[in-house]
Amino acid sequence: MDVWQTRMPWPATLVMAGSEQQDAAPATPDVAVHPASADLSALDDRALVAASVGGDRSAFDILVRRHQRTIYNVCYRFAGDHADAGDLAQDAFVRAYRGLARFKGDAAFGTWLYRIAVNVCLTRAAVKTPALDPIEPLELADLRGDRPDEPLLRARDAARVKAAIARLPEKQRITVILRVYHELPHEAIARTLGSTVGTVKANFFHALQNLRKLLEERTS
Amino acid sequence: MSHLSRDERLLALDGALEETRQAHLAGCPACRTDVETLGRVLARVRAVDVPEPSPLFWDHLAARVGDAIAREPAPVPARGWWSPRLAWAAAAVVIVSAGVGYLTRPQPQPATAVVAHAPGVTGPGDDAPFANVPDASAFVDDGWALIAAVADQVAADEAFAPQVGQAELSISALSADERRALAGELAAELAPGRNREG
Repeated sequence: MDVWQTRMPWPATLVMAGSEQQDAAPATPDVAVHPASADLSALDDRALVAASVGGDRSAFDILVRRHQRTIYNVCYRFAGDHADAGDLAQDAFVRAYRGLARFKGDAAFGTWLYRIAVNVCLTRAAVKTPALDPIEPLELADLRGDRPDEPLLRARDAARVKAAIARLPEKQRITVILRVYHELPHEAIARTLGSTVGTVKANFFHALQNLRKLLEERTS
Repeated sequence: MSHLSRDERLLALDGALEETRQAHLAGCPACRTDVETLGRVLARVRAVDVPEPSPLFWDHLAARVGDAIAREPAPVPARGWWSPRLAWAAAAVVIVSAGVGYLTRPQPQPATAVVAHAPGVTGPGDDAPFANVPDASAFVDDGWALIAAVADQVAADEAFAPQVGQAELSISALSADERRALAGELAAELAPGRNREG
């Protein structure tokens, strides 16, 4: 089994951020759903939000299981390690729960949750500087390949790139994450960050320029 | 032709540059080198994947969130600014205010009404506000005050609906002495040189 996950595709509900789309049908949860929650798991996100606001905590648990992978991924991209990504994801879900009654359904629940996660990442980034060293131990790398040293080289380069991304200013970093790894259009990034399209494009361009310099420094 | 702008270089990275500018890119070594360099950086960034955590990780994360949520108070359903309780409170305030206003309403002030309509005084609809009239009390007239006081006691339709013969009937109801007294008063009122405001 390939231990490397392919790039996380941007959920359809997030690509259409701000539109009036309905929440997507429930995705396959990461773990089996408890029989008592079987009925709830058939509900869409809006119904689960309503049930959660009505006091049914198991409904929110299903929302967590449904969205935790996406939220964790953006947190991981930002934080750079599993432990911090888990903390950030947990924080995002708790904040979402606290504000659940304010969710109006103007956008999909996933989009709303995603914005919370991005805000949590940006807020936390002001407190904590990401690690600059290789982030994942090389043992986690996929060691299969045509050349014996290819996986190792790939893992090293990935570590360099991660470290370079970690050194970017916050706004540039989150813009790269949303644009490259979540394939968000500039307009959706602007909505998520509460910014303008022009600013997003400028941040992305400067991020690439900075990454080029940082990677050149590391190479030389 | 000018070099590619920042936005055009981003479009080139996405393969969305328009044809005319694409032609420039093909013929301009500086732009081409820059776009290719940025493209290589972008490719290296894209190549970095998120390692898949242990399958147990997702259970663990959901459990952690569940524990944290269990310590949180249940979300309170949002109320708009207009809730039923608030509506009843507002209605009560309006009713009480109306009652207090009715009971404490000012009694008719004939002199004020006279001032508002006295000759030479600007009234409603005029540009000059009434408050700016110098020494408004100078216009107070006892006769006008009496008429205004009587008018306040008479319903509008009674006061303004003309009734044929009413004046004649009133005069004819007077006694002979009363008619003489009335005539004397009218003559005195109409006498030239009388100072009505004195």
